[in-house]
Amino acid sequence: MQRKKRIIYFVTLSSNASVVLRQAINESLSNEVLIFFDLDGSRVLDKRYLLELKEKESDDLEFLLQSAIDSGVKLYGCQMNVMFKQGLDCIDNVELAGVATFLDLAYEADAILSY
Amino acid sequence: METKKVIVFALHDELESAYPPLNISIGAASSGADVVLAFSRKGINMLDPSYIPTPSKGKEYLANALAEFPVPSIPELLAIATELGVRFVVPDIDLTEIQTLLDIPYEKVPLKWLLNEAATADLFVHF
Repeated sequence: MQRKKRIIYFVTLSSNASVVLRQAINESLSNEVLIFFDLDGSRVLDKRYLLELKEKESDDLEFLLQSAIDSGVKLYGCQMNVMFKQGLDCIDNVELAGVATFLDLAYEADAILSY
Repeated sequence: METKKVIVFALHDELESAYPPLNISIGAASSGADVVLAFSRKGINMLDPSYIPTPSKGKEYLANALAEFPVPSIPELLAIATELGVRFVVPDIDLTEIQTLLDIPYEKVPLKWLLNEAATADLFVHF
């Protein structure tokens, strides 16, 4: 059986999250997909930020995140979060990770794409 | 254990794009990898002495967020990377209009050399 390719997305801007999540969900049909959210990108994993979006009647992102999780996409938030003084209050199924974790996974990746 | 070869491209100069290549380079070098950090296109601005990292439009709060946390500055990260043995390179094609660069050790290399290095690396990543 052919080995699944591993694709890693590195997202530093929250405004790119929707595009990446859509692409990741699509790619997850035939590949192993991981997304690292860093700096401003990590905001999208925070429950408070998603609640703010919901109040603005924009819950697309929450739906996309859940769809990605359901599709087997692995989501990682930056351990060294700088966006929230109180720390990230992540949605379920998100792992906090640092550079060491990224490198371990990236060494075995077939493609790394930054957004 | 085999030494990993890591090639990192810094292609942009916005604040949110400036930190990842340095953090990844430092992380890889501190775990024993041979790291080449290439500054190309707008990324070369990070080596300009007057460079001030500015977030993308609409993300100005990022600068405040970073200021509120004890995050090293770009020059500080460049110094840490230098200490760890990260090899800084600049493709010769990008150097044509640059007058002054920071006083740090860097090599001017042909782009072709860099792409060949990337093709044989254990990890090639660009930001």
